[in-house]
Amino acid sequence: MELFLTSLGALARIDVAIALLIGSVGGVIIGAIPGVGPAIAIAILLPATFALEPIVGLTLLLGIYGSSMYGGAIPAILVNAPGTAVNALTTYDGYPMTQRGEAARALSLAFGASFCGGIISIIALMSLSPVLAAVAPMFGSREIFLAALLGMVLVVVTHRGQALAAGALLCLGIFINTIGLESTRYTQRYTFDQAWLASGIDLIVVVLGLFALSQAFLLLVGEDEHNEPPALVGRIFDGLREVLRLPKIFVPSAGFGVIMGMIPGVGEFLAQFFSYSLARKTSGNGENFGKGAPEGLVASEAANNAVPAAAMIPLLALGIPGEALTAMMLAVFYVHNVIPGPQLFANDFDFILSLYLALIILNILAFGFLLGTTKWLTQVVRIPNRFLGMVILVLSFVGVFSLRNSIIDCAIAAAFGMFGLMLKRLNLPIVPIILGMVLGGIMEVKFRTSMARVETPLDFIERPVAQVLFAIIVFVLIAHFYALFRAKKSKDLSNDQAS
Amino acid sequence: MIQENEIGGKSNRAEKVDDYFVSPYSSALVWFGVCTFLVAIFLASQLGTQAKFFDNMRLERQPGLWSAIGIVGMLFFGFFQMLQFWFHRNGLQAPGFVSEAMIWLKAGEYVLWFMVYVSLVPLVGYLPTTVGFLLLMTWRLGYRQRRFYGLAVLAGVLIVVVFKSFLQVKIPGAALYEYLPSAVRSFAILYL
Repeated sequence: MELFLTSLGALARIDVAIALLIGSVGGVIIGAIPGVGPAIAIAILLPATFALEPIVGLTLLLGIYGSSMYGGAIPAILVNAPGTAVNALTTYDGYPMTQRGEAARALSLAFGASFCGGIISIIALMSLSPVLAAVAPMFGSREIFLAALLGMVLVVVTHRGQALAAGALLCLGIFINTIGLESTRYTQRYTFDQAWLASGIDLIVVVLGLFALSQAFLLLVGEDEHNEPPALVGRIFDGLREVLRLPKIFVPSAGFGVIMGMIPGVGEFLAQFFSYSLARKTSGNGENFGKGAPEGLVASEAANNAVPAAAMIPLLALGIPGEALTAMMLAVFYVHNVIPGPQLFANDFDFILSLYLALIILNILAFGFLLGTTKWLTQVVRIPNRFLGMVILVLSFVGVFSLRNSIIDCAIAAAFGMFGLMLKRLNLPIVPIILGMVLGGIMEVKFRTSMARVETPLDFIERPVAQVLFAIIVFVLIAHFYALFRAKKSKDLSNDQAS
Repeated sequence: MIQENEIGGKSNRAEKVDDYFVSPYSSALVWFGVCTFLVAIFLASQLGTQAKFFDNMRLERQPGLWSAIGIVGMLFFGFFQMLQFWFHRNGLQAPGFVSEAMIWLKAGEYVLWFMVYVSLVPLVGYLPTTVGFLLLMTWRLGYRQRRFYGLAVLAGVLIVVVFKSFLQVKIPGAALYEYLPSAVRSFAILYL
């Protein structure tokens, strides 16, 4: 109880309260604008949070991360354009409901499901804390190295059909992270005698280029969408009651979100897809999925909003980000010399609990904000894409330039922006590059420290946690190759039948 | 993590999870893959000179180890990607390389706009450059109604006030501010 009150006390400050409010409200608005999304907003705000205390900066970013999914449902439902990438499945049932005049009901269901998913996820996170606190100290250098390796393997294999591209981009990220002066013998790596490369390429510069500037360029070279949101008729508040009558849908969906969020490299989309598929089978209304089934909408929204809290687990417990957004948050920890991982759980558990409580508050704030402002908020989908692109361009400048006041950083970010544009245009993933940079850096350090105590290769997996992680890596690889083999066999079979 | 290019556009429906991940091979994709593979080969050719490997030093302490891991990984995955391109060479779909490269070139114009803006901020000042840039871009993008120009000015002022005045991000005062009267100068340097 004392711990709980201490953690609550850490949040009872005016700066934290403002950060929570701006984060949750800002996240909803950002999510509601098609073409922005939380990754861009977090990337832009990241350098601005370096001047803030860790709890203030992190609650601001967490607010944006957690509440953007709420806002992302608005354009997905009203104009069939997902506000964030993970709201794609929300369009399946949300938009048909709008077409038959049930836009307000669809939105209220989405907000209610998001709220339930978010709260269930945080409860799961808090319940798991004692287990995590017990398990986290068992992770030494070798185990963290293997966990990061597992994250890399999962990032590659979960990009189904694009595993080779994802692998190459992940390795590109590992390579980019090594550029500059290294810290053991102070030699230069791939600087080509250029002074501006000696300090390396900053992660935030790459993130801003790949996420924010590339999106700005993408919007600027495209056409304006003429979105006209329909008028909302009916009450937004009733959705929560309707969602609560569907526990068989929202509880397993939130469960998928929690599990998928915890696994590094998997993320919201697969959680949403699996929960949607399960709901289609178990709801008894499967034939109407994709035609405006409320159960489908609830499943996808409950799942995607359960992920942010769960995604914090590998970050906080092991210091390993599972996807791009938590990788950006890791930068905030490092800037303030707060190293997430087993020691943080052991020594600063009140800080962790404060973050959990902040997550609960921001869900309540986001939900409350939407209940009061949805009718007004729907108008943001009318902002023309290219106008938005130009504003993102200006905002990206703040993020890059405020780091070191370097025009060269801006040029590097612009180059990564162009590279990101090419990747997005070709439908290639950009997240592996970021994870390659972050996980590569962690693995380099942990490999060096762990090898000092290793005589033979088998020593690397002599401890139980290392053995479990190694077994999971082997299992994931075998399962991936088996799935590839089966897919090829069934393709050959269907080709034979066709001929 | 996927269909990022769909954000801001209409949703495309997919029936299977693979439909979201697998995009058909296009000649633009093949060209892009080949070019990046050639870059990886070039980086590999520089491994001995651009990253150091010392004699009698344990592998994990070699400064060039992780650069080598990254490059070898790019070559490994890139090689199999090349093989896959070869097997799909007869079924390449749109977009073609030229049409896609034209779009990349079109984006190059905005890179130039961005770099001009970046270069002008330390000289002219954050507020005037931002507002001026947004007004010019609004005109360049073809918006002619007054409300868009009003929105551009509002967006510019808001961005500067939130980031420089409120969040105090580190953007230095402009060279031009030195010519302002002393009463206004320090205010302009600190907040504008």
